Amino acid sequence: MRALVFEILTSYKALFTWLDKRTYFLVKIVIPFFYIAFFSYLGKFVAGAEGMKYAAFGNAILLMGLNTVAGVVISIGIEKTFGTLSPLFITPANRFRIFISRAIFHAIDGTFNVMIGLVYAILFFEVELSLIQLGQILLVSLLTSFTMMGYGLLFGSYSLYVRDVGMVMNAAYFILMFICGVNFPVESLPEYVRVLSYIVPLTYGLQVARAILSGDYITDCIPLLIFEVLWGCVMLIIGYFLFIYFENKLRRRGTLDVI
Amino acid sequence: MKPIKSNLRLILVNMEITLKSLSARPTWLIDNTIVPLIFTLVALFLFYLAELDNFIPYAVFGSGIAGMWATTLFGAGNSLRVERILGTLEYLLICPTGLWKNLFGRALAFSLLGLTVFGQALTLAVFVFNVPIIVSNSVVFVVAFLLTVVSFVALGMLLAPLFIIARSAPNLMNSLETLILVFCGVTYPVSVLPPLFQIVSYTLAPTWGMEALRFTVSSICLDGIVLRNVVIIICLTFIYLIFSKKLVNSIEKKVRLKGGLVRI
Repeated sequence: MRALVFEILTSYKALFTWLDKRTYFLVKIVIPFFYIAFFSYLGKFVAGAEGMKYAAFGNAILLMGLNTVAGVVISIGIEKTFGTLSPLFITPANRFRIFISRAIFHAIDGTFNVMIGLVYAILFFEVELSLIQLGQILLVSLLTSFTMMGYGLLFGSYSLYVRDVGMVMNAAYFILMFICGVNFPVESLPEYVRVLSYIVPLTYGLQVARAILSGDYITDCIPLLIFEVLWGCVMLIIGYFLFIYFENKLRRRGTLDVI
Repeated sequence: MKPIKSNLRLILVNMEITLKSLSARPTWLIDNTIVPLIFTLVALFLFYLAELDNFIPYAVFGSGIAGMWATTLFGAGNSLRVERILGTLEYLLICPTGLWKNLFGRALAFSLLGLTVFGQALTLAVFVFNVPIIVSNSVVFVVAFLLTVVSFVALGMLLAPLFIIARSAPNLMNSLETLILVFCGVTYPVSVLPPLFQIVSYTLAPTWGMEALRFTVSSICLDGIVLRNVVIIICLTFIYLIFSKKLVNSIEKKVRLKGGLVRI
């Protein structure tokens, strides 16, 4: 257990490049503000104050993806860039433990990102939340962060196989802006795109968060949350088997450290 | 005359080499157009849902230009980061031609590639969203478009010194990309922003460029306003280029004295 905790903290701190305080400040405080601002002002121009609030709230919730998707993909895929994939795979350490340790702290930190995003949304973009609503939304964000871990680990496993981790990370994270109901309702997407929306756990988490924003309680959305958790577990299992599959494939080919 | 010719040749050679080195890894174009493409899709879809009249000037031109800026910034910034990782940044610095011309050539190369992203936005608008692109004055459009692109390159050159000294270039690129997009009002008019932000917006040359581009799809004769915008863009672009040269020279000197260039 102690080893697991140590692995979780080390992989978060070292692999997500948090060693530099300026980087941390840029990624946690500065970048989220401008992302939210860009889409909020776009929403304001297109649909007035309601459009601005819709986009600001959606993009604030999406910020958890910075950790649970981008962070997790980097934590796994960057081993190849650093040339440490071979030493990692020859250790007898439990693969599931290695797999999970890369993601678990990101899930917690993702909720912290959402909190920062919601502060911006409330202070600058006219989103109105009571303390009770805020508490419930943060709880939903924490749950959604954990369910999105599976999504991040799925792409992280794939990033072991490809040359460019950055491309996988960007594709995995930024596509969420389009398909998860962040800037416009999922119902307005064409049907063939909506299929993708319902594969991602964030779509359900965001639906619950918007329901809380409009006055519902978290208890009213329990069936949806249960489905989200179950689906997140399924993605986690698929991601784990994909990790094992790519590990074996790279070992057989002898291309563990080819970049 | 001779120095101008040789400087121009240097810049063009840098541009050519950058483009050739990118052709060695063709997937670069796909890698660097994914994010701009998604931004384009979101903007186009938002305007499409709202059924607004100003689809072309804001959604199409705006998202295309936003994508072009992202490609230019990420391309140029990343090239310096790669030089740092490969250990060739110092050689770039000691090269007698000077760092500024090298950077300018690279920025031009990446802005050229960024035009493919603009093309993507036009293609999506025409074939997916069925929006015909009609420009009332094509000469003015070409002039405004070229000046907007050059103004973005000049702005990128002003920010380039940061990439020389910054250790975490990707995060810096992300923050600068959206910062400029927010202030320049690429997909919305600057009047949407708070008054304090608007002051900053009007000091940025691309803001005037975007405004001029939007006038080209207007049926009203606005030649006087477009001319005013063109003059402002040219003046601001020159100011950026002069300042960027001074900044690069100053950073070059400091970096040589401190010896702290290569820290990954």
